[in-house]
Amino acid sequence: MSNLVIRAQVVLLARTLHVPPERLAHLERLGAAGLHELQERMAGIIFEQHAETFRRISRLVPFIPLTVSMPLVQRIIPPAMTGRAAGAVGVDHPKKAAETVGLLGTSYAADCVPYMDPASIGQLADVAPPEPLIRVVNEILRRRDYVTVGPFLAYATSNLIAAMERGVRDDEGLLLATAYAFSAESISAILRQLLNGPAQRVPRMMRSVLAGSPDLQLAALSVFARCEPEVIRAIGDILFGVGSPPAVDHLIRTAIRLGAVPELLILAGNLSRQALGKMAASPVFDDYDTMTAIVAALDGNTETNCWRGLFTLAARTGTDVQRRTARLLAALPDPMVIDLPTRATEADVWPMLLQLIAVADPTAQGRFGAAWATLSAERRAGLQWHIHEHHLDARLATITDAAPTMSVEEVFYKRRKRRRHLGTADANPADTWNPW
Amino acid sequence: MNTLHGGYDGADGRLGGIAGARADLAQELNGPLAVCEALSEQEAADLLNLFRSARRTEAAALAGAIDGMIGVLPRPFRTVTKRIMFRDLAN
Repeated sequence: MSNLVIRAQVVLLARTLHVPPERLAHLERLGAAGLHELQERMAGIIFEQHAETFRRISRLVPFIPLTVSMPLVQRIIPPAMTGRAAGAVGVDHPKKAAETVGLLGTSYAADCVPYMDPASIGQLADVAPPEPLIRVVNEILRRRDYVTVGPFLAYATSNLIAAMERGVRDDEGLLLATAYAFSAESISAILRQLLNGPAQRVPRMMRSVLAGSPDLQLAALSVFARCEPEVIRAIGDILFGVGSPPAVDHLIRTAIRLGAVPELLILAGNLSRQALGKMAASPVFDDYDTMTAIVAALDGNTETNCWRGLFTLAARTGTDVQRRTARLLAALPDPMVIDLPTRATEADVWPMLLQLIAVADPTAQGRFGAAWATLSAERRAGLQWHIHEHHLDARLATITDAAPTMSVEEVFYKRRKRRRHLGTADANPADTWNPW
Repeated sequence: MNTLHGGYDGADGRLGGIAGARADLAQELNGPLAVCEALSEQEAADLLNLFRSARRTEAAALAGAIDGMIGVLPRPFRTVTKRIMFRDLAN
């Protein structure tokens, strides 16, 4: 996910600065959000720098027939400059803007788009007929210039998104372009339209993804992982509904090979019970290397959605895979193992974590017990509480023996004592205890 | 203007260059950005240089585009049209 988005932001910044993307490759470390912030500010200043000039050009539009001016523009003005002016002028004269695209020709208009102000597209789409814009989008996708479409999706109104669903027939192109969009909100809006729109394109789209190139699969996972939970769930139902076991196997292997394990796990963590069952039943998990690669990819990662995916997915696999997963988790570095209960709390997956620990071999259980014995007394009490709540006291005796705990009453007593000592006894009379 | 290479900037009589590149970049961007804190002074100086160059390039391209469009007018109207529409901006 982040790699694609970061790459897109580098390309966009490079376009703003008129340099090749390779010139700015070293700035990838700033991350997508940082690069986006920088690019938006710089582009905004450049647009503002010429705003008055564009306003004056705009005032001429009513007096010069487009049939006279547009052929001249196309012949004389470089697309970069036409693109810069087009947003400002188009917003002033939206009806003429649609006509302009027709007069300019789709190809020249597509050349202009990389230089347009993305914010103006949304304003235009609301007042002008969207068909000319859709023709331009199709031309850009035909050129496989997916990075150019990405920024505009952030400003696409519901009208334009609906028009795209009807008019952009390139399933793969649409997914690849969406992968380059920065705004997660607009990605969800697009997927929601594809899910609920009259064309019902998602099943066909998912078949294309499952049978598609690694790049397409990577882009699709990046898109899915950035959607809102209910959209991921709906997409997942269709993806695993139409996907044969070999196709699902292939998708998971691609995700691992191309470094998209976090995206795969975010997808898993938001699946319906049925779709998760299909994913977990994939023969790919019989391969020892699969879980090894997945757990290794989480080393150093604290993202809640990823851990939710790992625990929910692993808990639905067979006992052998669960045991192997527990062993792999036990082999993580100390800080990661010590923080597993925190990850379980954040992701709300205590039952799944305890289930994995319960089937773990004694060596792995001993490792968890020793690591969690170093937790604070209150946290050990929380651990004990969860184990007790899930009726696993007998099966997890290794853990509770290794991590001696205090009672919940004792936790309260010590807390009150501490407050009295600090002179804040009455500061928070509604005392509550979170088991973690 | 900053020299970007640590030299003496004669325009305002201060030592410019790499040492103040992040601050210069923030000023050029109309205010600080969190991401600029992650830039080294060298990177900030480089970006500032590229940004200024891009602004100059775009200004020149826009002026060229306006000249191109005005160039299609009959000769007697060219200068006066440009003067009426864009004179103050050119300055």
